[in-house]
Order: sequence, then C-alpha cells, then structure tokens
Amino acid sequence: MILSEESTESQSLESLASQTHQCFSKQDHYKVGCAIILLLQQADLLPKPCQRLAAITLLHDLYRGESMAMNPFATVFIHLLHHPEETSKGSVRKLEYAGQLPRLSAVEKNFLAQLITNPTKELLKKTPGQILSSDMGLFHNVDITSIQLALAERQSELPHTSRSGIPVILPDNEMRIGSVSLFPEQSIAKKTAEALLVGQKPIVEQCYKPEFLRLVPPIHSCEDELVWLNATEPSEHKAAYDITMCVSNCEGVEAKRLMARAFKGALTLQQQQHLLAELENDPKLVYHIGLTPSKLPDLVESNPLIAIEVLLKLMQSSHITEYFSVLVNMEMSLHSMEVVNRLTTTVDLPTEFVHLYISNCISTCETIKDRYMQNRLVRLVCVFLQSLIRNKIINVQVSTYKYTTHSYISVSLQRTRTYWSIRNLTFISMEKYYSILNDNIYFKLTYTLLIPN
Amino acid sequence: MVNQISKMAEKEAETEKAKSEAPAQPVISDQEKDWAQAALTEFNRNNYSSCLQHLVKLEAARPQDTKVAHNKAIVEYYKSDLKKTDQFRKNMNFVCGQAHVNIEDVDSLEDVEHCVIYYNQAVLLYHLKQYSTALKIMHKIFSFIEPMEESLAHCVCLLLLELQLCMHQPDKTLALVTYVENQFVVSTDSVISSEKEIKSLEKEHKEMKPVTGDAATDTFRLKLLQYRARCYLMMHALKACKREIKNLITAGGPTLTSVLLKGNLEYQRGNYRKAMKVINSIPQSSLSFKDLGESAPVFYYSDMGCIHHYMGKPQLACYYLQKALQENEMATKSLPKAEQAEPYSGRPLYTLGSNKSYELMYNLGVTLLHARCPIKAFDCLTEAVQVYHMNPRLWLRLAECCVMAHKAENESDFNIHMRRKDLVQGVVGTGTHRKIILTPQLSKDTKYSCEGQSFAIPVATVEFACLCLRNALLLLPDSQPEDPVSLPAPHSTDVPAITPSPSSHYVYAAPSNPLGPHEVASLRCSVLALSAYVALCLGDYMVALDHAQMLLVQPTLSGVHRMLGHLYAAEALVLLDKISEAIEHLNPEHVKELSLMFPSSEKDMDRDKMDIGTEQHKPLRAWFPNTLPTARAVIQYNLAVAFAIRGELDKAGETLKQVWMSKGQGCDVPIHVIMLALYIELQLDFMKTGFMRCYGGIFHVFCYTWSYTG
Repeated sequence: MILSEESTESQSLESLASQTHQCFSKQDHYKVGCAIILLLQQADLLPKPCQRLAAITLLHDLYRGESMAMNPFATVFIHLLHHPEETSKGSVRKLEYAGQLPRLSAVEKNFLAQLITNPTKELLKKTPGQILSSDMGLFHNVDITSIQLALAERQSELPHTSRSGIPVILPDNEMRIGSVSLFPEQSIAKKTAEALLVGQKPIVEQCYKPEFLRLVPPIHSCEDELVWLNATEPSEHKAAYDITMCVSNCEGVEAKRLMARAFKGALTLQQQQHLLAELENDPKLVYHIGLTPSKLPDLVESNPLIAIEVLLKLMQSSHITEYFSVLVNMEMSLHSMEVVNRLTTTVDLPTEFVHLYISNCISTCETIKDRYMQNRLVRLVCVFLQSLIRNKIINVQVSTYKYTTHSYISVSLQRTRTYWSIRNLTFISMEKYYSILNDNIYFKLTYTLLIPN
Repeated sequence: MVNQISKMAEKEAETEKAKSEAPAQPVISDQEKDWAQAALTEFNRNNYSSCLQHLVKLEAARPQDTKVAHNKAIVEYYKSDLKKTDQFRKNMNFVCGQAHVNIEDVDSLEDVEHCVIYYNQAVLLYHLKQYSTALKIMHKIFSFIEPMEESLAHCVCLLLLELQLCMHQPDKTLALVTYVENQFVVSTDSVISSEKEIKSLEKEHKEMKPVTGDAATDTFRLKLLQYRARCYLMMHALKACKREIKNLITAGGPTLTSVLLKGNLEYQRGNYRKAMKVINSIPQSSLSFKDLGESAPVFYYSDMGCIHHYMGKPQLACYYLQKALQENEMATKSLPKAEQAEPYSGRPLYTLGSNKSYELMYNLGVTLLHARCPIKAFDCLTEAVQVYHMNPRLWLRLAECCVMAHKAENESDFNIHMRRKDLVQGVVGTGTHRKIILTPQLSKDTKYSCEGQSFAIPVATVEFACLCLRNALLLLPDSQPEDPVSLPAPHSTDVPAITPSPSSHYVYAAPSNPLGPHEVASLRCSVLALSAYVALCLGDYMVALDHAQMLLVQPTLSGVHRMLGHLYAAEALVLLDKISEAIEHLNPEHVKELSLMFPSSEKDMDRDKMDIGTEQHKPLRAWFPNTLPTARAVIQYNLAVAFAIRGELDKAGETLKQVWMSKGQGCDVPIHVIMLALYIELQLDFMKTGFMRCYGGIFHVFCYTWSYTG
C-alpha cells in the first residue's frame, strides 16, 4: 500500500507517483482515483497528514498532463481548497463529494493550490513530511477561478440526475467514541478499506440517488375474458349423401344441352318450346341449367325470348341483381332492348336499373361511329322511351337537366326524322321539358328541338 | 414455360369439353332409379352395408356417374363409423378427378351439382379446425343456396353459421341467421322483394311458435335459435339473448347445449350463483364423448372455473380449470391413438377437433395470474399464444405475468416495519473504523440489462414484456370510431352475409368473445400504462414518456391510469433532465379518484339494472395504493425527489415533511421517504443538529434500523 504511514513519511512524492503508475494501467486510473477519494473521505482510514498529502498528490498525478478542467476529480480539489463550511452556507452547491472531505491545514491548502496551478519538479521531489514541516504559508490566494468556471460549465452539461448521487458509506464511530481506544489500529483500517474497495460490486462504486417510487400498474380488469365453453355439437356436421343421385336428372340433361346450345346460336322454335316447357315443369330447374350472369349476354343475343323467360324465373333469386347489372352493361342491341322492354312490362324493375339502362343506351347512341347504325339505334331508343313513358315506367315529371348530352341527341333525332314518335311523346306530357332522371347522367329532350319547323 | 401454359390450356379445354359432355350420360333406367331409391332408404336407416350393396350394383351399371361414386365413398366412410378419414379423403379425391372438380380451387365451382363435394370437403376442414379455409369454401357454396336441394341447403347453412361463429363473427352470423330463417323456416314460398316485408317478418319471428313443420324443420329451427343465442352472447346483447334462450328451452327442453347457454347468459349478467345452479342441472346424457365429440365434464369444470374466477376466487377457479384440463386429457386419451401414416384415422371425424386444451390453458393462465402465480400463468399463456397470437389482450396478460414476476405489488414498499432493514445493506469494519453501508437503491424494479440474449425466447422477463406489449398495441385498432358506438341492430338486415359488413366495431380476441368498443378503449389504456412502466424499468425514457403521454390523452381514462400516467411521465421527464415539466405532472390534485375502470356507458343499453349481479363492477384484484391520501403521498414523495435532484433541498425537505406528517389513518407512506430524508440531511450536512430536530421521527426509525441491523 503506497499510502501507508511509513512510506509517505520517507519517500518523495515523485517516487510515490511513479510507483502508482507502475502498479496501475491507464484504464484503472479512474478506479484508483475513486478509491483515493474514498480514503480521503473516511478520515479514520487515512489519519496522518502525510498520507493525506500523498493521496492528494497521487490523485492529481493520475491525470497529469491533461487540463485541469478535464480531470474528473477537479471538483475534489476545489472542495478541498474551499471547504463548504468556510464558503457561504445554504447555497446550492456541487454536491458530488461535499461534506465529508477532510479539512486541510493551511500548509496543505497552499501545497494543493500550487499543485493545481503551477506544479514544479522541485515540489514533487520532497517527501510529504518535508512539505508539511516547511513553511509555505507565504504564497496565499492562488487564483483558481478560471478552473472553477471551466468546471461549472462542464458540470452543467450533465443531467441533474447524474449529479445527485451520494456515497452510501456512513461513519459510525461517534457513538462509541468513549469505549474504543482512540488509537487507530492500522490492521483494522486496512481491512476496512479493503472491504470497501474490493468485491463483486465494490461499495466505493455505489451511490444513492433520490429515487422515484414507481408503482406497478394494476392488472387489467375486464369482463367476459375467460372462455365459457358452450356445446357446439360437432357431431352434427357430417359428410352429406347426395340424394339427387339418379333421381330426376334426365330431363335436366336435355334442358342443359339445349341451354348450352342456346348460348351459341338461335334455337329452333321447337327446341325453344321444349326448353320452356321443361323450365315450366320444374321451377328449380332454372338454377341447374348452367346459366351464369357472364353467359347471359350470349343468351340475350341468340335467344332473347328464352332469356326473358329465364330472367322472369330468376326474379326471386338473390342473384338477380347480378344478372341485371350484366344486362345493363352489355352492348346495346335490338335484342337487349327487347328483353328489357319485356321485363319492364311484366315485373317491377328497380328504377335505378331502368335509368341506368337508358343512360347506357344514350351514350351508345352518342359514341357510335356508323351513321346508319346510329340512326337505327336512336329510333330504337325513342320507341323504347315512348313505351316506357306510356307504361308509366319512368316519370317524366322529374326535371333535372344536364346540357351537354341533350343537344346531340336532339340533333340526331331530327336527322333521323323520327318526329312521329317524338310527337307522340310530347302529347303524353304537357310539360315543356321532358327530362328523365337517372343516377349519373341527366339528359333532356328539348321540346323546341323536338318539334320540327 | 410456354409449353406448360399450352398444356394447361389444353387441359382446361379438355375439362371444358368434359364438362359439356358430362351430362350426356346414358339415361337412367327404372331399375337404376329403384336401386338409388333403395340405397337412399337404407342410408337413412343407417344400414350402410345394404346401402353399399345397392350402390355397387349402380356403379356397375353406371361407371361414369360421379354421383354414384361420390355416394359410395360417403357410405363406405359412414360404414367405418367415420373413422377412416384418410381413406375417405383419397376416395373423394378420386371422385373429384372423375367429376373434373379441382377441390383446391373453390373459385372454379360453377355447378350447383358439385356443391355437395365441396361441402364435404368443408366438413373435413371444419373438424380439422381449418376454419378460414372451410369458411371460404362455404361462402362460395352459399352463393348456390337457392338452387340447392333443401336438405343439403340446411346442412350448408348450419355449417356456415358454425364456421362464422368459430371465426368470431357474431354480427355476420346474426345477419345470416335472419336470412336463413326467412328463406327456409317461415315460408319457403314467400317472395322477398322489399325490405319492409323482411321487417314485418322479423316481427313475426318473435311471436313465432313451432306451429307447423316436420321433425327435420323443427330441429333446424332449434339449431337456428341456438345460433342466434350464441351470437347475442358473443355480442353481449343479453336482453335479446334471454328471449332467445327462453324460446329454445321451451321448444327443445333442457339439453346440454341449452343449459350451458343459459348458464352462460346468467354468468354474463353477473348472476354467478344462479349460473352455478344452472350448470349444476346439466342433464345426464347417455351419449358419451365418443358419440358427441365433446365432453360434458370438461364443459362443466371449465365453466365452473370461469364463474369462480369472476366471483373473485382465483384459487377455486384454478382448481376447477385444472380439473377441466384433466378431464380433457382423459377424453383425448380415451380415443385410440392416431397412426403415423394415417393421422386422421382410427377416431371418428367429429372427435378430431375435440381437444379444448388451448382454451383451457388460456383460462387457467388468466386465473393463475389473478391468483398471483405469474410464472405458472406465464407458462400456460405461452401455450395459448401459439394458437391465439392475434389476441391483443392475451399479449397484455403475458406482459402482466412478466411484470408481476419482476415486481409483485406495491404494498410492501409501504410497510416501513418490514422494509426498514433494507435501508442499510451492511456494516464494515469495527471500532473507529466501523462504517454503515446504506443501500444504493430501495426499488428493485429498475433493470438496465445489456445481456446479449434474444428476448424473443419466452421467458418471464421485463424485456419479453416489452415485446408482448408492442404486439398488443399493434393488434389494437388505430383509432377509436368517432361516432357514438352502437351495436349493429340485430334485426335490420336482409342481405345474406356473403358481403361482410364493412366496419365491424368488434376486435378479434379468440378464444374470448370479440372485444366491444368499450373494452377496446380500456384495454388500450392498460397496455399503454404497462408499456410506460416497462420502458421505465428498462431505462427507455423517451419511449416511456411517449406511452405515458399517449395514455393521458385517452378519452376513457380511469382514475388510477390517470395518476399512473402523470407519475410515469414525471419520472421519464426527470430522467430526461426536464425537471420543471416533470414537476407539473406531480401535482397531487391530478388524482381525484382511484377507480380501476372507466364507467361504461354501454352497459345501460342492454342490461336492465334490475337483475344485474352486484359483483359486476368490482375489479377482481384490489390495487394498492387504495386510498386517496396514500396516492397523493406517492405523488408528493416523487415531487420531493424531483426537487432533491434539482438540488433544491429546502423545497424537497419541506415537501417530504408534508408527506411524513400526512402519515396516519388511511394514509401510508413508502419506505423511500426515510431514505430521502437521510439523503437531504447528508447533503445539507446537518448530521449532528438539524437532522434530529426536523426529522426526529424519521431519524428515530433510522436509528432503530441501524441498531437492528448492527
């Protein structure tokens, strides 16, 4: 132990320092410094002024060559120089090592001040004993304010929490002061110091910081979390026997065959009648003959009559809307119009459907390139509309206008000389404007344009 | 590649051809019709051998008829008591090949004739618990429900309903039940053309009595009633459910199913004693586990466990649940063991999915957690989470286990008598060199770990809790709906449930019932609070602050969570060196009440207050601090800590003094107070004089501890 009583009295500070450097590598210097401070704090462990002086020197020597402000133990020196009780009381202080550091004599202080500000070789050549006995009380008041400022700056960068720790060691000698011999025993001191410095988690490294009380949150509380097991009767879901086996499929077969043909081309009158009769006999057969919405356009084009009958039979199906939407979106033709027309007269069609269909017809009329076909289609639309209005399928009272679409229509109406039908139209309603509403597109048939000059 | 495509195209063309040719089979002769009729009769009489004889004759006469081949496979399967499942699958694959049906691709289903094949596939998948695949098939089949032959249609409806309930979709199921009732039960001929009519039908439904119909329709109707009741239970629509169950019991008498449903109803209403009485009346059944595929004792013990859990008796609940697990194991063991080559054979089909161990594990885990056995609970829940990893609440429970294993509760910190010895960790040296070593830390819940081990391995640590909580947060929906929450009106739909309702308020939480909006909100609060706590324990202050702040802005915040939000936010802020912000959070006025649950508005909707049990609102586990003064003392103590850390020792001392003074009846203070007092004194260097005078009381305790330890 370098700081033992004997060695500190006899050896020079320089040789003590070099011994320290030999014993500990650079990485351990911080730990060594902490240990020295601990010994300094516990006055009983380092009783002699020589030891104290040597300790301070070593502490300084550990970080020799670096600027004072960077020395991790700079605060210690400041505190040693300005003992808290001498400075103003009650102010907010840097607390890291305060309170328990020993009070230094004037000689020691002067030595320290010199050490910090202006270390000289000669100073370190002496033994601690020599320094203590020498009269160095002459150069007082060394200016250390610059170092203090640098330190304060560096400390303020640290968060408050890391500045708030205190060591966990509390001296317990006061209560027994009378009973125990006043002579400090070297061996016990050594043991105590070892107990404090050595170990898995040495006490010297521990510190107490004010700690928050962190409450554990309550267990989440809720209702109906556990699984209530209900009987699900899994044995009731069994594989199913196909009871339609060999039952009545022979007619269905023929119907299916005819239907498949009907998608591809017109059936003969006889075939049509046969198919319709079979459908009539078995109301469920319509679902079995292989008609899907995607196949409907083919059927409409090839066999509109069958398509009408089939659709009428499918009216109760929940899929009828799918068939409708296919019908609305298919290419406009005489046949499709015929089918829709028949449907409107037989069943209640959703009004949106009718409106959508009309608007589709109109846009087809507008976009078609072939002039002849256009004329034909427009005429068809007019007949169709006339029929719708006559049957009160659509309500011409509703007047909503959109300008862009109507003129073209009107013009093409004129061109195709379909006045007669339009005339009839105008007679049905006394309104000046006939407008037909649909969901997306409004169009208007302008009265003035309809009546030819 | 090109080759492959052309081959595929060829194949497709072939299939197409085959399909169009398929109907062109020889016309069915009268003899064949007779055989078919006889086979059906024998099948219905469960005489599978003689049925098979007829089918063999038929097969010889009509080798190309897929329906004959199909039925032969079915009858052979029935003849084996539904045990030769693997063989059945092979046969069915063969039938599929013959019928040019691709069983894997449900979208290719176009012909109503093939529905039965797909249905049988879905039945298999259902029993193998592959619910989502089965459900997909059933949705497709359901689009052919109208042309379908009626008895098959009934089966299809029931299986679809069951699957939807298995997937915890009560709102969709309810819509489907209504649709099915209108289609098949009320009157098959009635035309649905307008919504109005449906509504009136709905009204009729309530007064509907079993007037007409044969036995088959009656059972079908009963089944629908059961499904309706299960939907309502799942949605906590208890009033509607009560009516349904009453109908069910009047019409069908007490059966295992209806008794359990009734027990479930009483249990959900909080009438635990009544629920217990109800389940004790489970009728004795002659049918065994092997016949039913489910075991009544498992149900009984498990449900008893649930009841006791919510009666606040976790130990008893654990006992019942363990009993249920035993019964479950016994039932499973009673079945012959499956062989390696044919894993699904040897046992009847409907017992394949009969193992309830995951549900039971979940129940037991939650109960053990409440019984304060976090490690055991953790083990159970890690079992359950392998199957139910989409359940946010289950992840929270896992995290709670970890945290409980880490720090069991708060109360011991307030037991000064017990904990004072923790102030001093030891004494070093003797004589003049004697030193007292104080504790560096009173709380043991901070853990900055830098071990390199992966925390994805489930161990009950705080790190794993952190992972669990992240999962829980991800599984909760982002934002709560702004509009006032309402249950989907149970009777207002005419659409068959093919199109799912776009916005469901319910959050999936299998194996529990789906979480209602209120529970989702309260779950989110709990997850956030625990996340903040765990982040603080791990030293992750930014994250802790985020969670705490998020917690504080939740609309349905309970008193306890509000207080915790402030405490956690303050601690995180101090550690982030924002002490003034922290001090704002540490105002004791922030705590106004200490409720554990946000008052629910939802309950008024459906529960008539008259018959709700009294145990309803009491949380299962009391929480400490349980008095307002104690809670405020905690906040004030933390305020003192914040002052002390900022170096304002006078303020800290003053605050701490207030805390110490408030100690007394109904107000406990934590042990930390003494340590902080000591700290302030040491810092102020008043060791000899001021300390004794100001904090005489505390110092006394300290001295006591001192000599006690020394």
